[in-house]
Amino acid sequence: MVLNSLLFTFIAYGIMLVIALCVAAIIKGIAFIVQRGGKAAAAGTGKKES
Amino acid sequence: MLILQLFQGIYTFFLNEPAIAGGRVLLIAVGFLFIYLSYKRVLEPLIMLPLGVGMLAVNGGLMVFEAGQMGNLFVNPLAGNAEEIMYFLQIDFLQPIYTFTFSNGLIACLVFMGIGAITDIDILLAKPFMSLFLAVCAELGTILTLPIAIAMGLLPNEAASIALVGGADGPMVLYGSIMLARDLFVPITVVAYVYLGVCYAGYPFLVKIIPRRLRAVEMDWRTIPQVSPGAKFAFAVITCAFLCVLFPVAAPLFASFFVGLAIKESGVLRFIEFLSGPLLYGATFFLGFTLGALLGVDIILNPKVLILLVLGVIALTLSGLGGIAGGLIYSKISKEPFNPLVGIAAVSCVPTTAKVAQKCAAAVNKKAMILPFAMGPCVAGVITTAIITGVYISGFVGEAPIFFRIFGS
Repeated sequence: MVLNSLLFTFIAYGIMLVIALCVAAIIKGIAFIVQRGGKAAAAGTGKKES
Repeated sequence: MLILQLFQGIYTFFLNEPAIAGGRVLLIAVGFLFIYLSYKRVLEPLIMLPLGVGMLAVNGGLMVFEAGQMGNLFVNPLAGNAEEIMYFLQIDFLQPIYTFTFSNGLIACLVFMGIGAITDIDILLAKPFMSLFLAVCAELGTILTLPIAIAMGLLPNEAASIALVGGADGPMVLYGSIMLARDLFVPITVVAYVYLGVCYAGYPFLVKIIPRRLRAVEMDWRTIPQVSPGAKFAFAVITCAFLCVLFPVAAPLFASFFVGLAIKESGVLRFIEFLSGPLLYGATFFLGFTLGALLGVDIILNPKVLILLVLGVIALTLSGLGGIAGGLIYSKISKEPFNPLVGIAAVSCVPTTAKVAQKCAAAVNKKAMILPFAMGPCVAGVITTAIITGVYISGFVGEAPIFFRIFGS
């Protein structure tokens, strides 16, 4: 039982690691989209002014 | 003896068996100790002060009911069927709080909504890999305590429940233990809250294993990039949906935390004031007071409580060591100066461990300002603990627990 639970905790740790990476990827993805949106908005404002 | 019956709290001491009477005296004394330590700010007064009062009141206020049965007018957690619950709802003054907010985990969710509404996620979003890497390292206690607890004789679901103490999130431990080991949720939650209070005093000694010169490293918080409120709002909503899809069993916790975050970032002032003020502190008060009232003498007579006390220390120590190891590894791979003390903040317990990191850095270098960096891993720790809670609940409870399907019973 102890060995089984140790194996289970390794699986749990792996799952947590993968999900944490996914959360980090979500954060990076949001940052990328927001940055592109900001740039596009800035370019739009620039065009209007010219 | 007849005159003593006028003062039933004292009278019942003579009716109790010596072990139970002794246990009552001990718990009243511990209640006084918690109140004193809360007053002196050694323990977290927000939770431990009402808990201490509840403890001494429930153990002092034992009385004789009809047919010679002894009980109190606080709460009866053992009320099972609908008829019994209806009876005690009309008798015990904390029974409505227990029945409607404890037995379904609502109180933990209410606290989490409030925590979400006061949590600053700027650093988590500015430095996600650093924050989540440290948080994953600081889950060492949550992971390793499970097999240790089973080796010490606990059932797998009970072991998973006490292992969650390593995640250092009181509401998460409460919610997880209600789901995983309902019989032990009171001692496990009390162990968690007491030890989390003690963390503030204990972790400064643990971090001394980091060389002094590394603890003194200064970090330039002006280099932290700005994060827009829109990005933070999007993060709260998307991550909530993502985690709820993965772990429906822990979805109430995720939803509560992220709805608090979303409201904070959306700037709806009335809701922010409500969640971060009356809701958070109201829920915290009743959480502490009702937990105290649940700490009757039958709790300490349970032989598993001593094991839980030992395992709580093991879980938090291992998580602290994991966080420190993560901090040391990150300081080696980081291109910018990095203070490994930030690693201890990843144990979570928002914001206590972040404050510990700052306090320890300032003790060796007054110019070291690491608190803004420490808040990132601290919040990331809540997310990783919630993930582990979801895995453990899925693994050990339900119709066909995954653990037993993989390894057999």
